[in-house]
Amino acid sequence: MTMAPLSQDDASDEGGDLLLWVLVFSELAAFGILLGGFLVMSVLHPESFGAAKLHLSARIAGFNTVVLLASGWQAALAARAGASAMQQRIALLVAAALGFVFVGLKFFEYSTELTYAGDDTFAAFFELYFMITGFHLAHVAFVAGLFVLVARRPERSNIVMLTTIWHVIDIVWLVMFPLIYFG
Amino acid sequence: MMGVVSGVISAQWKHETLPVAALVSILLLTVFKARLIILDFMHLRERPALAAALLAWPILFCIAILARIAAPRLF
Repeated sequence: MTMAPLSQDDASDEGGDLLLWVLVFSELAAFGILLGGFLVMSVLHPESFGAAKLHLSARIAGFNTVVLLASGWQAALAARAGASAMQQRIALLVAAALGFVFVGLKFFEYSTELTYAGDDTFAAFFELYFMITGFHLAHVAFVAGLFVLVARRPERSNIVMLTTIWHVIDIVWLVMFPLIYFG
Repeated sequence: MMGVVSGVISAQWKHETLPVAALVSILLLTVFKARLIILDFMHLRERPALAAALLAWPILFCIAILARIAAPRLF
């Protein structure tokens, strides 16, 4: 039995898919462990976690949620079939700009919360809070930077891969937002 | 989803109690969004086992968060 030779495009698609799955699974595993840890700690220390949450700025976080959703929408516009190179470029740059707005707002939010981080009562909460949100923030900043790079020479395979990762980061935030700020 | 989150921001601004329905809506829409991305962006319609494994992540956390929110109200 002979097998049809795999074209170069098919081979790169398979490789791209595999890389994407590995990336997505590793992201979800890493954030799953962190969020699971936060959930367990919030059950074990309900009073200190409940009190610490009162010092978080849920308004900024809520606004950041809208910013991230809008950014994901722009990324999806860039990834849609039939978009011209110029449309892809504009959508990617808007998505990146909104990603950087998220980063800026998050740093502003941190500046209002840092004063409480040194308090021994809230130590466990803020250690986990800064670790989880900081890890997420690093992802947002990095992928937003990649959007800018891809916008210079948009190729659909790169756009689809980045958009998928962006949506995964978005989903992680959508789970993180109610858990950390309201859970 | 943007409408629901805007409602959450508005409630926060007015220092109103956050309706649990808003949080439930966000979590349900998150699962729906995850399903769209997994099936359409990641092209996993033909690989239901892999799609289910990926979708298990948001579903598991949404259930855990809802249980965490509901527990103090029930007990």
